[in-house]
Amino acid sequence: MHYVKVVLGVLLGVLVFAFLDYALPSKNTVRITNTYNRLTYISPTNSIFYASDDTGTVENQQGQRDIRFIDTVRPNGKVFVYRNEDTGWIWPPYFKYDSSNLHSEATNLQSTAQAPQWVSITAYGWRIPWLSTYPNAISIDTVAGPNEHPRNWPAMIILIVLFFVLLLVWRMWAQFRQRTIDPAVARVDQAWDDVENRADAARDRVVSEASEAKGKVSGWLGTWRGKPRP
Amino acid sequence: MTALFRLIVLVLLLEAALYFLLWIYMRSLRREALEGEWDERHPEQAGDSADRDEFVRRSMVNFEKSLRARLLWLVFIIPTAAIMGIIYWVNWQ
Repeated sequence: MHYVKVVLGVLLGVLVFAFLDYALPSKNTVRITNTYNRLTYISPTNSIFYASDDTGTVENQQGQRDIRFIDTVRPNGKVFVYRNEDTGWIWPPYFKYDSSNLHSEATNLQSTAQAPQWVSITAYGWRIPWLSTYPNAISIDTVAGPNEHPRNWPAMIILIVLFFVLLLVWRMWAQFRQRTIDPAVARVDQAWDDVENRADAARDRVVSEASEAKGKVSGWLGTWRGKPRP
Repeated sequence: MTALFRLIVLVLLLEAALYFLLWIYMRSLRREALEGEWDERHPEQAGDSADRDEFVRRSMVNFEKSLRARLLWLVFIIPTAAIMGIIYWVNWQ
């Protein structure tokens, strides 16, 4: 049982970490090399990594969406591809609906390796090549050089708020337990004890009455052998 | 547009649920503090009793009008303001 709990706890921790890693914004300093849109097939497998259907992106009959992409290069020379999609109104809660503006901004900030213009792109999501998933770019800010990494304040603030929410939930649950559950359990225990005591008393009574009756019968039998009744 | 209304309804429902839970929590905290106060004032009558219940009941009468209970309305204001802030920062910055 102990090991089951440990395994489940570790799995929960990994799940929470992965969820936060996916959903929280992250900032990367990159150089934009190209912006374009491409008809993209979204399969049922990777559809959860794209915007939901009702956010303005229209799917054609072959299940393809016209999605905007931003090609970038990192300071270490590796490439990175962002998508640029509206998020809609519910999930993930970025409430982004300016992807057209963001795209023109990205196009404006395109640069070559000879005259680089470094930018910091805020995005959420994962790049998983074999699932064809891309992080969704949220905002673009220009930075002075490839070594400038602006601090990720939004993610920090969200984490702090989440921590306090967790603390509150814990305190509320402890209060509920102390003031409502424990007294109720005590009452049930008390009622159960009363029932048991009554059952014990009833059994004792039955036993004593039975032995009394037995005594009476054996006394009566004794009279046949000339013994006086006790 | 329906998505926006769905968001508004969902957020309002969540805020109402949180308000309800926090309301219960705050009352519970206040009652516990009042019970402690009674026990401190009447050490000879400490513990659960009809007198203490009456004292707590009378002290809780005006709890809804206290500042702390009114501040609980922030549960509706802060998340809504946060959502509006996110909308602003994501789309107009």
